[in-house]
Amino acid sequence: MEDAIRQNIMSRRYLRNRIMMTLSLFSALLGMFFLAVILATLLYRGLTAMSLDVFTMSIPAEGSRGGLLNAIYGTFLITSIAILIAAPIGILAGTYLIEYAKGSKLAEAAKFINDILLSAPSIIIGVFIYGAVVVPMHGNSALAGILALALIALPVVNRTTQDMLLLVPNALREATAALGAPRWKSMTMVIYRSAWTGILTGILLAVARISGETAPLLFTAGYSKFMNSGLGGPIATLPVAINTLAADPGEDLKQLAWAGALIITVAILALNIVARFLGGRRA
Amino acid sequence: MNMTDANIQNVSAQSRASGFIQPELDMPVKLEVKNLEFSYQNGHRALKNINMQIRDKTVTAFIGPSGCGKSTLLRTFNRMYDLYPGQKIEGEILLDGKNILGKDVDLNNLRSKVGMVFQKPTPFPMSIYENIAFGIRLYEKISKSEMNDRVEAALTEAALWNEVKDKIHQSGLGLSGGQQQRLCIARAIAVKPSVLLLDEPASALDPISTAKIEELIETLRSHYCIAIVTHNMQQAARTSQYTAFMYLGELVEFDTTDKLFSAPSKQRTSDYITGRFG
Repeated sequence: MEDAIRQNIMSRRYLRNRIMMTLSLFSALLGMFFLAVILATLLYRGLTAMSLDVFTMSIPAEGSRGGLLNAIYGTFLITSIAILIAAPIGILAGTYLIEYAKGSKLAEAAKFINDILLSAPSIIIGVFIYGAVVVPMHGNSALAGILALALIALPVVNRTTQDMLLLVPNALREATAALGAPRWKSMTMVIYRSAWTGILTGILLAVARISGETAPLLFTAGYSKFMNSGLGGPIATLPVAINTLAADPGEDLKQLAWAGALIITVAILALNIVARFLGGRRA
Repeated sequence: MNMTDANIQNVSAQSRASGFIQPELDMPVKLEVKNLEFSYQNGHRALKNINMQIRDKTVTAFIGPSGCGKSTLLRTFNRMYDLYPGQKIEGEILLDGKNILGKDVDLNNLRSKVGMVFQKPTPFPMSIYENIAFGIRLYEKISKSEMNDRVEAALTEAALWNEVKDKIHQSGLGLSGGQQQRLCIARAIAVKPSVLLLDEPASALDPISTAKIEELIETLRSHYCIAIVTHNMQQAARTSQYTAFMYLGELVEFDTTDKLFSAPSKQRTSDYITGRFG
């Protein structure tokens, strides 16, 4: 009798287990399915549109030959200068918050505000730079785009630096102090050394994040069909170019948008893979 | 670096009078603790009126249950507590007759004289060679070949040279736990301190590595004043000449290791070493 009851309970458990397994498997597959569809469409449409011209010529007028060279260059220029601005400031700020001001009211407030900035919609950053830089300069400029992206990358780098420094065991700080090493030497020779792969991962993820940003560039860096090397004038970037070309009625230009989408996706994917590799090696 | 070895001859009259025959028990006083009080930021009084003398070229062990203040006391000898705000200390600690608790004391200079090794091995994320050279470079500007000699000498003294001489430029993080701990000891003695503080140096290690560390302590004793905190009473008995038993922030009993373990004068000490509490 008792065995029969136990049998009954067990078989119900197995059944419930199987139902839950099926549901979670289905959910996982559903997510994967849409990702696969997006990537497959992107690959198919992007590769069809791909040609050498994409990398060697600037954005054309409808009906003539052209490519995305100026937009690729623009994204590269704006992203790299933005990260060169954001990374040192972010690292130093994170270092201050964790190593020097830990526990102080100022540090707690700064951390909180940084976290808000981290999740601020990027369009807000774009509007801010529009008001602060574009309006006084009377026009879109690469410089405004750089500042907008730097402002988005800054809290990311700051936060990762904080997190990575928190992972460095306190024993290491005590051990350097016990040798009589001054604070700055301990930081540069020992603490950064044990946290640098993590910090670098954070910087790469910040690059991945800002290189795909569209909203903050729309009315800061603006758009241009021409190769533009100065920072004072408007400049095309891949995301804004995709946005503009995809909306164009011209079929050739739509094709070019697909090529651009594939390029930026592959680039961001590669950055993420490198970042993961670095992050994994640390652990 | 001007080492103040002038007071090394300062043998206290007290120890002369006590009539110990073993020369190792009658070394000059290196560290003298007077009326030491210490409290943490939360107000917890971790050390209560500690008075003791620690002798040069001798191993002094600190035993007692967790939270008794033995590590806290050890960390006052190199003013480790200065890293954290809000900790209060009163009294005096004399190193070679000079108070190290004064505001004007150069901490880096103090820590070059008082080396410390921690419970968990803390190799720096750099090569074995660089781990040792890091400390030396803080105080001395020496040539490459001199540095090589100093690194080799420190590793030899820490009984690690033979195990690592072929991979000296590989990362110190790749060593085993016991080797890492000996690397940390080598790093500490490379800057030529006169006092060596060992804060449970073997409690994270396996028995064989522990035995090696204990052997090493025995050989280091002839050159340094060694203070060791340990949870392991057998270790205290094996390695030290003097033992201090602490309980709830007080120094309950401080005597030669032989006496403290064979004929303790206080009931609490006797209870602790026979395993009745702690």
